Amino acid sequence: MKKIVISFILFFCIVGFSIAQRTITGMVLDPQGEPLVGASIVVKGTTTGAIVDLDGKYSLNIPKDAQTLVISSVGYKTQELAIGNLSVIDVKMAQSGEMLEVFVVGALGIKRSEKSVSYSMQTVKEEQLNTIRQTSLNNAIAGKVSGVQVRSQSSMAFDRDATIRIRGAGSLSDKQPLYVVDGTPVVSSEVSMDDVESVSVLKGPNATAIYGQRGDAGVIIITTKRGTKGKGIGLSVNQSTNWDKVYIMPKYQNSYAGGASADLIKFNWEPGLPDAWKTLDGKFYHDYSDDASWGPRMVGQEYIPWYAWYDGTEAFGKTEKLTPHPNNIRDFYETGQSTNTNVNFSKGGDNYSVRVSLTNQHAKGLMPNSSLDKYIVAANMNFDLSKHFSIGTNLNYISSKINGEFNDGYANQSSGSFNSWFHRNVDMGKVKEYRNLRTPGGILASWNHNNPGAYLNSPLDFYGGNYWYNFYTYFDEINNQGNRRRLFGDVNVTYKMNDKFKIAGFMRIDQTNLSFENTVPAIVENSATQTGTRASYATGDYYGDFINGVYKPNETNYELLATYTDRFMDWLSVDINAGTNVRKNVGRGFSGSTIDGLVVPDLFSLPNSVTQANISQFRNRKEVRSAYARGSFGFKEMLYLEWSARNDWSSALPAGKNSYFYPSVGMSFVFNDLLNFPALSYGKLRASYAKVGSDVGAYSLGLNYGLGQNKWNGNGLMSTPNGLVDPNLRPALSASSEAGIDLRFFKNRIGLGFTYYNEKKIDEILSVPVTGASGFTSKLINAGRIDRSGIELQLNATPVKTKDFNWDMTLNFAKNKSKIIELAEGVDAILVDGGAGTFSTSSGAAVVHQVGAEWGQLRGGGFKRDANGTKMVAADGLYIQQADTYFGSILPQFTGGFLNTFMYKNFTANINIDFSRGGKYFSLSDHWGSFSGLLERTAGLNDKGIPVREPVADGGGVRVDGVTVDGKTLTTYVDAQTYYHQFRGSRIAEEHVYDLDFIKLRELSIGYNLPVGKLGIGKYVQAINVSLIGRNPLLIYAKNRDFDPSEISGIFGENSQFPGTRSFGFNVKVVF
Amino acid sequence: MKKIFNKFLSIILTGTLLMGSGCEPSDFGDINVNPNSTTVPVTSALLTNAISNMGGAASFVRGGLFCQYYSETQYTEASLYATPQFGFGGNYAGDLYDLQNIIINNTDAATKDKVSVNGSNNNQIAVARILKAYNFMYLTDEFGDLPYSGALKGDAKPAYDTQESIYKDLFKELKEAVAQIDGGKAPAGDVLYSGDLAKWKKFANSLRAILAVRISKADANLGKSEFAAAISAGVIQDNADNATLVYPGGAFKNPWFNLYNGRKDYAISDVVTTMMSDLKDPRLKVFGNPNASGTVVGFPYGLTRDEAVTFANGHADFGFVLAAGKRTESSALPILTAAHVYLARAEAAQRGWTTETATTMYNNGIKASMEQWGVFDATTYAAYIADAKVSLAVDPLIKIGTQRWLAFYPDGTQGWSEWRRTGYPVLKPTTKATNASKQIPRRFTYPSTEPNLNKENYNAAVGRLSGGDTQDAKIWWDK
Repeated sequence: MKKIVISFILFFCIVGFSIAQRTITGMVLDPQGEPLVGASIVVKGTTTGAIVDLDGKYSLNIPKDAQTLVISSVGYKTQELAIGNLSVIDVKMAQSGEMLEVFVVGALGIKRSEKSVSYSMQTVKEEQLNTIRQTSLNNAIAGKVSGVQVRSQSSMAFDRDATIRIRGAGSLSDKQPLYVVDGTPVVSSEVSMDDVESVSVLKGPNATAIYGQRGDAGVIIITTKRGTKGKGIGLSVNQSTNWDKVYIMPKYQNSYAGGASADLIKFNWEPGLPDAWKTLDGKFYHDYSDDASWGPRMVGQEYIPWYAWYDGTEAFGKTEKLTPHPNNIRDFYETGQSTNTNVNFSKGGDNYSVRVSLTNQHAKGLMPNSSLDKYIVAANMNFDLSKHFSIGTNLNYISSKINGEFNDGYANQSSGSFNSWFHRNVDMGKVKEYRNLRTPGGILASWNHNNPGAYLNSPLDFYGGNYWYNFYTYFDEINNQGNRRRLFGDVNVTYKMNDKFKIAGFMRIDQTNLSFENTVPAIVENSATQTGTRASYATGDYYGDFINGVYKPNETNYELLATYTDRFMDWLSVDINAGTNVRKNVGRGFSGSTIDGLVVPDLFSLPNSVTQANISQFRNRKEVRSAYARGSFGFKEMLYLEWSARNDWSSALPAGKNSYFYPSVGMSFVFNDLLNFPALSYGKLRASYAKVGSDVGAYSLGLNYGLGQNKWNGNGLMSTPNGLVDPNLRPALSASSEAGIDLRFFKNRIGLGFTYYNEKKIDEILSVPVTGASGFTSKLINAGRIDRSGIELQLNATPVKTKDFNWDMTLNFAKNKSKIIELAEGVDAILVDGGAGTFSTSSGAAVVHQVGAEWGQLRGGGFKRDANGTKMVAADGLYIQQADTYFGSILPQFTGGFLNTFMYKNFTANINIDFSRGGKYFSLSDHWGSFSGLLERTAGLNDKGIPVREPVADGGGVRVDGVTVDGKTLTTYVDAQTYYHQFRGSRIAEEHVYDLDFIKLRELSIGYNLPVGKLGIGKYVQAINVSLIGRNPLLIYAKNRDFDPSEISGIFGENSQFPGTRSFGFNVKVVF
Repeated sequence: MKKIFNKFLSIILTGTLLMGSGCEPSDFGDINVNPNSTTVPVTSALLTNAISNMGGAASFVRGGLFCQYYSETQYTEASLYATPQFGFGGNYAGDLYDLQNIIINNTDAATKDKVSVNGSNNNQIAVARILKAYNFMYLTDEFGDLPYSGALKGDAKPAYDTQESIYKDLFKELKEAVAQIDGGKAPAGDVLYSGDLAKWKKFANSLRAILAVRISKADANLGKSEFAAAISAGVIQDNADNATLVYPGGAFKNPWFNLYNGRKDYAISDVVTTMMSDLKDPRLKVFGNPNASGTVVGFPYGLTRDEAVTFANGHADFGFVLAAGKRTESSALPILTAAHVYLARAEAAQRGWTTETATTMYNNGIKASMEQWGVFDATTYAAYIADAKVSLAVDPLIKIGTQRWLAFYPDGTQGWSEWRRTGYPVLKPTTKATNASKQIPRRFTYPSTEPNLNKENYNAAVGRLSGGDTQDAKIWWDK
């Protein structure tokens, strides 16, 4: 084994040897003291030379008679230095008037000259990322990279992160990009933003081919900060505090009270009812039991509020005036407060660098009793042990604890009620005031208790919540807690044979241990009549992580990477990387939950389950072995040929067919030097072609019969799996080509990047639905073809640059079209994973792929229309449904961002706007909110100026203009409740389909750098910066303002989700 | 190039990596062997699973809403005849394929010896065939023509067979299954009859008899001959032989218990309560849940949502479907009973298909039903059958139809099927109906996925329906 390793090393180094008499080493630094990677050092008059490595070092074997070194780097003044007897020569280079050479972190985390990159990639630097110090990296790059669509989530849910789509969608499933932190593939972008130096987004297969099957949805490369040699003691402290408030909400009606009865109901005391209630005899109440708001008009009339029925309380027996409470829902959500504190220490020397960083994020949520507490420790260390050996490690440890319930699906106990079922007359202040109110029998009081007659059945039938609890009580009583401990990073060792060749070995891990415990006490179960929650206990422990609800197994990678860099004849540069990787994924989990309640009240343990507790457990393993190489050849720093090749072997594919190969090739041509056009500082043309494959999950190849966990009188139960598998599965392949141009003018005052890409993905491994009559409901096969193409544009400019004032701006714009060309034979539409919400098979809409249409069509019941597009109606004025109507793609047509930095003396202001055009979503809140008479439009005036809720006979009703089946136009008025109920009954989802268009001011900050020198504290402090920050300060434009279109929770739309929020705060940073 | 590269890389990979386990990069050993489940099915567990799901069909509510057994109390779309469109994929890919899988494993030479540990191959196959017939009866009675002969074979485009040919094959299957039962070991996992194969034979013959009467209008000759053959082969005559699913409770609860374990969306309809009160039927107090004063308050049938909410608010004591004692979590659910069979024999006799005496069979059926529900009392029974509203003296087919409808309660699909065929008892569609025809639906429309997945065969089946794939189209036996 050892022999082979050595021969492998030798193979790569052989080229690196030259006849040498002595060695010179040293460092080449830029004026800021940063390594000037890629600078060339040549013995004058010879071809002997070296390239400065990542650490700024070089080592050069020189002939004995060598006298002068020539050190050059584009953008710097070329220096000639006498060698004499020196063996160490350090150089600090001065900038020339020319443009600076730009370095980027490309695939495999390799820092490369921008010139040699033949594909589109975009890098966001620390300053632009951390405009407002977001806690989510995904949110922080919104609008900052063209072609990246960030789907944010309401900040209320601590367990949810934004998701990212790069170039729309290139696969049939809505895949997430691969995240790579300092070379380690990780399951999420969870890092402290204080540790991030830059983020590079590799967009298409051309850039990611070297990552193999996992890179097909793009790769996001996160580079963290290293320890550096610097002034001061190397300590910096950064602290921000934010306050979050609810911002975007649906518009509710404030005219009609709760219940199904349009009139107040008179209370008549009768025997069997509590004697105390006699005081209410003859008074009126609204229907409490029905949770809709089709109740009486609120005009300040006297009525019995829900809390007046609890004998022995202060409010008992007292009537109130029936009035609207327009802000009752807004009032429910609390003001969130979050702090984000980072302390880091950084130090570097000649042969080491260390950076240690500790971040604490603490948040009190907008939902009652929700909180987040997270610690992130990051440590990067590198040591040069000798001339040849160095070791290093990058470790990130995250410990987080989340409390609270963040369910905002249909019928949850907050937004799911507010937007679907609620009483518009409920005073949230009273709900809060009575959060501890309960009957002497221990039934929790609810605004949605039943009507008094129900007391005759039992006190519970009256007092118990018919469908809903007092929201506050519910969140007080339940307890959901999740703990995560995650460790990721690498340990590496590098053997550097000489300045041309090195080989590095890495062990990389991404490991999470996760546990959760949820409890619901008995009082919750005992206080409901219909849709109550059972007392319960649920717990689980996982080896692996859940990212937005999707399980990700733990991962270990073993990697070997050889690097060879050389220069020949002063005009040919070569760099080659070759590597191997073994990836091992291991998943394991165990969870349990009680069923049907708890035997001993409030004893939270699995054996205490009324019915045998549900236990579930899984294990899985997968291994992928890879070998790969990439390289580039540069001719006169003008023409670069770049290539990559990779072969993967996957354990999850059929034996004998588990190997797959993908190549890429690209070319870039830097032409500015050829043109005599002084205004052009940089010009590059690039084109590339690549293939990428994709794989399946472990154990997908056969029928897996699981035994049901429960036994019927001792008899086990088993069912046949419903998915057939094609035994000849093979990896999918996509072929992609792209071309682009990058231009910079006027000494980089204006920069322009343009990319066109065209991609074809075929034979995806896809579970296609088959008719269940076959005995199976799906079949896993290779099938389908998606074509996508688009353009990406980046424009950077510094429109104003004076001594005191500077304005930098970036405009990103991307247009994408992904089209489904074919699915499997005989299949013209399939449901997209995650494309179905709660009511998608009845009155809602779902996302499907339709052959010939753009990716991800929102489909559901539509309005039937005649040839002129007029809605068709029945004789009674109700709309006629057209089943399976396509409302359009859920993907935006274009997305982008507009980023601005203004600097005036010591002040800096950032204004970051992002925008999106096109794409559809279905709103379940709108659907039920209309059905239940909660939304503003259900209580408006008709064209006659009469409230639509008045009887049609009295001039009320909703005006309908349509055409009947026999072609006659019909104008009629339909009773409001019938009108707004029809969309559910007739399954017309179209009424609730909206556009995702938006323009949003996402980030705003105004900062001030204290003149520490002038203040006389420069001795102690290097810098102090204070800034005011705003997150989501303004939704500038949206077609429908009921929800923030940039924060729609599901891919089909929203499922009664949390409202949008915005936050304001301040940030203080001190560098010592 | 690719080949050379591959070879080169695999040499590197094989040689260098320390971490690889095999010597070939493509050899992963047993990594992809699933530790969580088996790839070999257990036929007894498949059988238990299929039997455990029988109650799903026997308690499916939509048919019961159409034949007015029950009313919706909160959301009334279904009983206002919103389109009954359900998927059938789960039925085929679920229980039907599990049963098919039992047959496959007991037939295939490679597996049949191994699985005979769970019962003789013949007996396992026979029981699976009987249960398949039972499941297909429900499906075809709901939809009409269906994929049948080409179904359950992994074929993604099975043709739809006519209901006529399906029925003919069901008769054949039941006949052959009974003949196939041998003296070998009874199937393990039989939670319906605990391996009593004599009872399985009676169940199969009884099912055949029920199916035979169901085609009285479509093919009376065939119905008559199949009926006679079924009876002479031996049918359920005693409640002790009933097919009854006795739920163990806990993880497997009676579906009617589940239906009220929280919500209360359904109630016994006033159509049932009015009729039974009129007949002084002793079964009423178990068919519905009596209130505190012992009355079963029927919920008006076919109300709009506001009307239903208003009624429920005013009548918090409305009757649930079945008395509490009949829908505990471990209550037994009748699947096919002596009463069902006797009343079918009454109808057959009345139609002149047999020489049996209609009145005897009719009275036996009523008696068996009362006994089955635990409300039999000799005096009450005597008075009941003597009542002019019950006795067969006048309108015997109406009386038999009504009693069959009552005896099948609360199995809504069976009640709906009998009503569709005979029109008895006379039921009026709700005046609040929201469908175009305003009539009670005659069938379920095909699943919305079929036009996408099995288009040509779907279109051929729809072409045979008068008026297209609607709920108003009549299926073969519904004339």
